[in-house]
Amino acid sequence: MNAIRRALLACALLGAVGAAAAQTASGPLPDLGGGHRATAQKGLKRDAVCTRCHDEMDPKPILAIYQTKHGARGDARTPDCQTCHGESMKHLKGDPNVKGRAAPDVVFGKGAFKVSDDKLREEVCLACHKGTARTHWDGGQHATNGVACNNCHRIHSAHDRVRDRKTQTEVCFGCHKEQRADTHKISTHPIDAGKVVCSDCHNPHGSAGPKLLKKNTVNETCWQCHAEKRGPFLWEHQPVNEACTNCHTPHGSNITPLLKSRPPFLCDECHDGPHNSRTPYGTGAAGIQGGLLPAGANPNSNAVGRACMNCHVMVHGSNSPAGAYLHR
Amino acid sequence: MNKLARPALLAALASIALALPAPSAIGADANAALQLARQNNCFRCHTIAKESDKDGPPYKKVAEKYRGKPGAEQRLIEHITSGEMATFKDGHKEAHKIVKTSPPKDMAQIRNLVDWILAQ
Repeated sequence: MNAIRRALLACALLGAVGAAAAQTASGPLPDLGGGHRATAQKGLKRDAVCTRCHDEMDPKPILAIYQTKHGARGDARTPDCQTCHGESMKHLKGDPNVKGRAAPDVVFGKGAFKVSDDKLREEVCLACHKGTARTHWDGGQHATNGVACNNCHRIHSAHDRVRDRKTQTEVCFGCHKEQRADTHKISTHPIDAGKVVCSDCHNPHGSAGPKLLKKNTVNETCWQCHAEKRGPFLWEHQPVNEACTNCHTPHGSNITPLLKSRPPFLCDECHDGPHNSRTPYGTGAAGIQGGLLPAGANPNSNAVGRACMNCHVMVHGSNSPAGAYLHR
Repeated sequence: MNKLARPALLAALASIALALPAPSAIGADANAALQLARQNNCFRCHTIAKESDKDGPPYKKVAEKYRGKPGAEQRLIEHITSGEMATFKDGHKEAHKIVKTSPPKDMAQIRNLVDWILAQ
């Protein structure tokens, strides 16, 4: 019995030592600014200046912000209404020079008041949300075209559509209609199926690469998923190294797989050499492609099936010792 | 019916009549009035009955003030459609919001809203 008691005591001591070590390793929780209760009360008191009128009866669901991270009142870092909308004293106390109620200092959405300039609106958000993924916001396509944060994000809603993979594309396609049309073509990334969304490739908050891509180049972005195309290859295909978009169009195409033009014509754009000159098969070549073959003749292998890729299967690059023709 | 029962019946009928809403409210479409009030942000300054620190009086108080007075309906219609100055609790004056309807200036909708307010 004593042995069992000793064993249990030893286990308890070991457990205590382990727990203390674990706590030291993870460190204490961050100090959120003293007593959370006092912080919450202070924040809610500031909010009450606004929620006195903008309550649950408001036509817009203003109070839903308390279901979001912006509404975590126990955290001293959380903004209150005035942090984003300004102190808005004229809106509160009235302005004799304005007919009716004066506008708040910063107006984000369409409504009774004129929407504030996009630079002012984004400045409010970037005051906290700066750095990391938003480092390249200034000078980005969205920033220079007057798109502010709240044009895509819903701040007062518990469900920010653009941050939900299921609904994100709806938001982007609201403006990018050409890309929406492309996704309905027969060859496309599985965007409609919800497997790939815009933010998998693009960083709408700004990028050092082209087209607001997440990575610095087109290829780096594509290689996030298509890693087998990255190489290195013994025999490289130069346009593949250059940019995938030399041959592919990423949002959708009626030529599988996401090709910009139909092979062999796509390949002919660069390779106007050996095969072509000897056995012409273009539209002007006696209608061979239209099925008007001479009796008993076979269609040209360069034009049927996968065209050039019937033989040059390793078009993205090859490691075969057989040679540089990307055959295998 | 005996003579004793008749006054009791009359009293019962009178109490039922008193419990019913005012004649103007009988015709008010409460849902339509509420919807119009919400669309025009009326509840940013007014509550229906609850005492609050909002800028405007609760509709119940408005109804009590005007109940039984001749021309009450017309007075309130004037108040919400002319943009006349309203005095706020802190003393500042501001033009009262003009209630907008769809289609514009639909007096039937305005009258319905006023009747609903007076019925509170």
